[in-house]
Amino acid sequence: MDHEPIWNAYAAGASKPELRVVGGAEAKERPPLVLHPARLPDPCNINPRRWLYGTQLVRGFVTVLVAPGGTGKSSYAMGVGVACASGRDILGEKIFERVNAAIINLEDPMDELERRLAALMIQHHIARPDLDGHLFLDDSEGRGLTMAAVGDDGYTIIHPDEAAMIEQVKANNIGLIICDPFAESHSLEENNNPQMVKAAAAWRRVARATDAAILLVHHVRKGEASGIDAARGAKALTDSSRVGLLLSPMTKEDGDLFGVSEEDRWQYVRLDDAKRNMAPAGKARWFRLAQQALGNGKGLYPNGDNVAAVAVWSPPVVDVKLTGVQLNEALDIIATPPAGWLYSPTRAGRDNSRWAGQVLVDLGMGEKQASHMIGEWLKSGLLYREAFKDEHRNARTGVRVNDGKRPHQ
Amino acid sequence: MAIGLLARHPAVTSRWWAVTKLTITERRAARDSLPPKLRALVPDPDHDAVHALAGSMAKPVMRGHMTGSQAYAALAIEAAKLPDPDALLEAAWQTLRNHVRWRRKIGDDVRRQLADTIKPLIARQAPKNAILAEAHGVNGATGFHLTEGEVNDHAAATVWDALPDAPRKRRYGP
Repeated sequence: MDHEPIWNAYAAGASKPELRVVGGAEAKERPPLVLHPARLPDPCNINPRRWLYGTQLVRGFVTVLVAPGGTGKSSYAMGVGVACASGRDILGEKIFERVNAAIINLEDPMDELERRLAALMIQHHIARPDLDGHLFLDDSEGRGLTMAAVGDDGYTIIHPDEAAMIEQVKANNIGLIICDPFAESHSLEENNNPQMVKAAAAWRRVARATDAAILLVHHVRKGEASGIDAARGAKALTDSSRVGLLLSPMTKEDGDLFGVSEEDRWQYVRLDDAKRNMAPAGKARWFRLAQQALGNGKGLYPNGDNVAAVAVWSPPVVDVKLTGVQLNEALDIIATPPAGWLYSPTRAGRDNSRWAGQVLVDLGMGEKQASHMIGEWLKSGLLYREAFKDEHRNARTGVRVNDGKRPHQ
Repeated sequence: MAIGLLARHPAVTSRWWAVTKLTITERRAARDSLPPKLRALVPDPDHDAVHALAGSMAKPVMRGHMTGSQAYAALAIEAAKLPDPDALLEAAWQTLRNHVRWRRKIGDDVRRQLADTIKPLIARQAPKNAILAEAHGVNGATGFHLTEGEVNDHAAATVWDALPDAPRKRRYGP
């Protein structure tokens, strides 16, 4: 910290001097404000984005991974680090470049981190030489990390560890830094947007100065995690990141769709690019927290530990591959019900005989999948609801087929 | 519980034997003669080197010259040379944490002492170099528990506290 203004004021017998933010880019003399005309370069000459890991991590930029507690965000973040450090696409994402990765976990002790790392290595058959010298692991013990804090005067923002972090990253030639969780890397007020801007900016400066990709792991607020806005605290953090990822547990609906029982649902998590639109459940990236035995049993604990290791999971195919002809046959049946009634959008009739989905079931589709497909058809407008009166003159809702939206044969 | 905590205090785990002036053989014999419950509370003389190493790494870890993982690895290597390395490593790690806690407390005491010393100088409008010299003198006299930068920071913060407030409506901060 530059103390000169304080000492000068003291020497001159003046009052408290005005202080500026120090330690970051703000401390430098800024050039005068000038608006520049667009350069309009040839698109072929613009450098491509330097993706490091799929479309999740970019060199020189910050990515935020948001997830509720217990979804395996630390395991996922460690999986990303191990994938980049080993150069192996263990989580199904393309690795453009193998880089040294630093995982700074400020929440758990080293022995717990080592358990998780060992589980990942066993799960994905990664040998020690694959990671030796390429993976850096730091825990919550020891000195901790303070990328931003309020200074002694109570209102200036200081960045005590920023310069040291840049130096360490450069010295170890690190291309990926994972900070888990972001909240532990600063001591600012989490609900204060201006302060969160400063904390995020400190990480962004590290990314720019070192050309490394940065993954900040962040918690969600209380309640349902439905998007990147569920991130806890001020929104400035997620706004200032380049990519926002949301890791969320499997919902009951998804579990029913994929045939995963209530007891096993906790093992499955989905990853969405939360700054874009959320993908349908069948197309989202799914991961399984596989329980991996470490074989470290001894003494009082002969069974040793079972530790979760993240692994890619492919959900069962939801769309049974019916041909266009078969689908049109099913739609023909739905479009021409027996006189006096329409097929129902929901299960109805003895043995579901009046349910439109039963037509698909008769063609070989499972009940849950048929229910899902009828729902999708209603959403897309291929089927539309229509009120009618049945043979007992009771008001009912049925479905009709919009022939203009039929699938091609 | 209290005895257990006392037995793990840095002063006990790393230095108690210096007070007794016993040789290692005498200490080992004295320890072996104790009933098992009491023996567990007395550090094994063979572990002195590991505990001393843990204590010596507290300062570098606190100052960021060494990460917690590196310290842990160094302890693990030393502990692995002796029987029951897991328990020893856990105890040595606890020793390191105790030293860090102890050094933090000492650092706070030095800061208080430093402020108490330079406040009269500030009141007399002593020059900056005299204040800083006195501050570094206090730090040196107490065993250099603070870094040079920390002493400068704390001296400046004390001076800042002593300065009169700026006129109202003055904009502070960024």
